[in-house]
Amino acid sequence: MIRKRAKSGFEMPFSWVFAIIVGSIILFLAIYGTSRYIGVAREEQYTKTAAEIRNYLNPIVTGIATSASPPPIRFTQETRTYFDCREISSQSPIFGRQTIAFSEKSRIGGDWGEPGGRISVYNKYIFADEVEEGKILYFGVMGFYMGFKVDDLVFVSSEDYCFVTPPNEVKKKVQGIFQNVNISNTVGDCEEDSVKVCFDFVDNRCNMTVFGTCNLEDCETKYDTGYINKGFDSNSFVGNLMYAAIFSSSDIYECNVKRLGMKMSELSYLYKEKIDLVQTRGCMSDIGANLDVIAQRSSNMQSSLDLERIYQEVVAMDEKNEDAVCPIYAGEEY
Amino acid sequence: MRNKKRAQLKIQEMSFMLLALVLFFIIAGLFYVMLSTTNLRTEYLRLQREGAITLVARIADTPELSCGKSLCVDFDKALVLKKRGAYDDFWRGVESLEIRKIYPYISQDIECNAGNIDTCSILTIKEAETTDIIKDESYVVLCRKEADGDRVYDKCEIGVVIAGTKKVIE
Repeated sequence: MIRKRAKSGFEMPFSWVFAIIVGSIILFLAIYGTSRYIGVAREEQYTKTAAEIRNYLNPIVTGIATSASPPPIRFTQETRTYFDCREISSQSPIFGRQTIAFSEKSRIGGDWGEPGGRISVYNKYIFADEVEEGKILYFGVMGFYMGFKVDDLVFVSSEDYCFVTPPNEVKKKVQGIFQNVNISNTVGDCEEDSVKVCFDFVDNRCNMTVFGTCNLEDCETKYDTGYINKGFDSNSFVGNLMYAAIFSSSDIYECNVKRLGMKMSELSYLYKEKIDLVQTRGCMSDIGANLDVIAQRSSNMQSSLDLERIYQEVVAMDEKNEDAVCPIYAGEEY
Repeated sequence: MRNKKRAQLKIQEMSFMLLALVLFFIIAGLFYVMLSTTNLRTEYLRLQREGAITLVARIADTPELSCGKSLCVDFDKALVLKKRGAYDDFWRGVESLEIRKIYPYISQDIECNAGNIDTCSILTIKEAETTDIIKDESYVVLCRKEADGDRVYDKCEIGVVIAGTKKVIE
């Protein structure tokens, strides 16, 4: 007897088909929702970390001291901190702004997460590369003076640096502030993966070379003014901006120099008005004309090349202010 | 026929059950999102406030106010700063900023200007636009230039810098 096979083949009840379809939709939604949530939670965490870094930088000021060395931040895994700089922003049309963002390497797969929200900083001058990558973030702070104090320069770096044959003044300053800087007498003595900063000599193993150009009578050192060559880029500096040019990318440096120019200009106007105020009480000062020149030049800066021209005026103003019966500002204390 | 009806009833039961399950997930999800958004706002305000407090702690040492010594405000600069609007965006997070003289004590609130510097008691650099603020204080020395014949000296008094930051609403 031949048994007839059912024509319909494998038969599944409708309730099963229905349950499988709806079940898979629910599962898909659950998985999709969870992964979206993890993404949002991660972004939130990164944004918070960037805000914490900003807050960490807030109380770091030199005050009357010329420099400060805040302790580094150590992370448990590889991180990236992103910086950028805008000379003009709609929120702060005069002083510009910088932003900080943060991300870390995933423990699973090792890929880099998308950076969190960018946190804006309006009243800081942070000198760093666009992306600082590593487990440790080092910080350093130095005052920037153009006769009067303009503001503090904040240096952020995750790399190790090797300064080759720096002058004694630089050596002294660096050793007290930067934990990630080693001093060496030859390029060959530097750690392989460190950034090699050479002073006044050219070697193809150097990542950058610093040249001092100050030859005025009033120069404390040759490096009061100068320039730094980094590959195809060249940045001019005065005073402590030398360290800013070393630790930051060329773009962030130039942007912050222009922002500092605007700050310098506003402070010049402030001191100018202070002169008008105190002279009603018999306190006379003759630095008004110098302040006008500095205010005008610093607000029209095109690049760091203009710094030296402003510096010449600052030197003339400083001399008058120091000799005056009624000094208008307190200069840098060494 | 009876079996068919029972099967239909089962399908209906199951579809209602699944629908209820989906609705439950949606409501639970919405509830969670609402909770975490509230938390996010609190966290945002906390970070803003933390940032403002750390800023207040150092505001007397900023070049715009400092007399060149630690926790010393140049009262002449502060008077000028009041007139300059450029700094409104610079100290973001600080909703109000005032300096109050506490010694010598002046019982009335008299706003300072260039003409009444000896007899005034308060200098408002930035006025608060809202009442939802918390004020933090930092004691400082207030110095200004005075001349006595040919001799110019710094006349210093004791004061307090009061900065207001947005209140965190839990």
